[in-house]
Amino acid sequence: MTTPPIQLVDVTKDFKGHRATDSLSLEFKSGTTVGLLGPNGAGKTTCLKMMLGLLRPTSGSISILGQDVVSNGPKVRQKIGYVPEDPWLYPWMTVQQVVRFASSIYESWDAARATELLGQFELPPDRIIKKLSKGMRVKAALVVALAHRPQVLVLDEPMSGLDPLVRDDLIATLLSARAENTECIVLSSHQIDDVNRLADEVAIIHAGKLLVHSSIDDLLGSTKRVEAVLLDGRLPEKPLPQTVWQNIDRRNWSMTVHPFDETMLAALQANNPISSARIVDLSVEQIFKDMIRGAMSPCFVH
Amino acid sequence: MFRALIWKDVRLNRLPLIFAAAMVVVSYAVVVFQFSMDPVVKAGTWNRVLVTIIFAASVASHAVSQFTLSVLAGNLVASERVDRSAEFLAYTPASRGTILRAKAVLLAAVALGLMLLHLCGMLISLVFATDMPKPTTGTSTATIWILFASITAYGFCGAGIGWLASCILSSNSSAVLFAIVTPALVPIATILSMQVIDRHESEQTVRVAAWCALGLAGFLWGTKHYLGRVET
Repeated sequence: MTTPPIQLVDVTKDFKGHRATDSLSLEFKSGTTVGLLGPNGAGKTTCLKMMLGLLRPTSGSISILGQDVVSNGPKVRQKIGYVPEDPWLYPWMTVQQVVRFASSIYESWDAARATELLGQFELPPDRIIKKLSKGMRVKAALVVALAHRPQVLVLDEPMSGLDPLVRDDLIATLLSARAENTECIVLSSHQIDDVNRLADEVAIIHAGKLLVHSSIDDLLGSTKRVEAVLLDGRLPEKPLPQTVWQNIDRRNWSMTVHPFDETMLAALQANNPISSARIVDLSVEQIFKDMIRGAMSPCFVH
Repeated sequence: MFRALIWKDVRLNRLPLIFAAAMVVVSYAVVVFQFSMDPVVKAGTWNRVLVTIIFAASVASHAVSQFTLSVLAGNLVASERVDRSAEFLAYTPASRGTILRAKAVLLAAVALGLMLLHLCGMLISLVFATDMPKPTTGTSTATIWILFASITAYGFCGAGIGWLASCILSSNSSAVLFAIVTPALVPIATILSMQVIDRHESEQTVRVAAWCALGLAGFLWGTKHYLGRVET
């Protein structure tokens, strides 16, 4: 059995009076791009920083490419490319100086790849980082992250606040990185659209806990919304145990169910005072919203 | 990797380094100007004038250099937090130990370079002071070296406190301020504490010991803090 490129086992991280991640266990397989989704403060950035070995978990263990990140931080980071939301390179360096500096930090630096990326992103080599726009800075950070041909690429909301053209550029580059020797890409983002375009899998976390981790196809196939019409003046009696979120608005009862299978519909109709029910397909964004709403408040009654 | 880190630190601390070099030049220039105005010095032989100028300028420059070391030490780590480049560095494979070692090497190189320059100046002037009146008991020479050691201890304290403050704080100007103010407070603290505990040892010995202890504690504590810190 091959070792997964990223493995988190029962990882808890406590800050003063606040639990950022709570017994989080994740395993990202080789050859996958995983979208890490969660609302603000869900623990995504903490999770990514622990993967990089920058934060030490309070308990649990994290291994990247089979190596423990706590004891092998610098060695592991040789194989990881990282782009934060707001990349702070050395503002006084020129793009060329940043590239030269990074080339001496990373053992596997590929100068030809760096030159190719600089050209592809149309980054002016003599421009000082301070004078670059946010989009250009993200591109410069992506050059640093990709030119050493990392086996794992970690992206922490790199596309937030960027215009659609720059986002398209970045997505195209990330897709080509995926085709090269990058074993695993982890993309944390609020832009579910971007996650849809890039990722094969999604992991949704809320309040430091994992709600779901599955391939996008499986998630779409196994998560459905059931929209039922209640009989006059009656309330649901036996909702499905797999319901992640439900909403009752007068006679309309809708529930998001995961995992769902067709046989559940008959059970629902048999056990509840409903006149009709239908199954509705959901998008990743709707599933994400319903799961987060459900984690915050499982049932909403108007 | 280490060379790149040193290059980055030199470039990042360009201003304190230029300031250090400028202070040496200014110290020598001021001494030369002052002695050129002194009729007693001007009346002496060329050898005597030269020796006197080199000696006085070396001592003056050594004293001023201690402030520049405080500025450099205070700027070394914290300046990377001001522009948030410390975060970028944290994501790279450079270990915190290597990053800090590069900074320590730069500080040590500047401190040793300045000390050697001034020491050479003082030694040259002492060797060539052939037509100067010789001290009868050797007390004068001892006093010179005690003065040199005191100034060095003062600088060590400033650099150590600057290092500590720079490792802890996120503002390089606050770190530099601590580095400059702390060693200056030591003589006052020494006098007060000796009066309180009613001891009569040489005040200078206590002061030098306090500077050295504070400097050493600053370097050790700062290093420990930096190695355990997360730059996020």
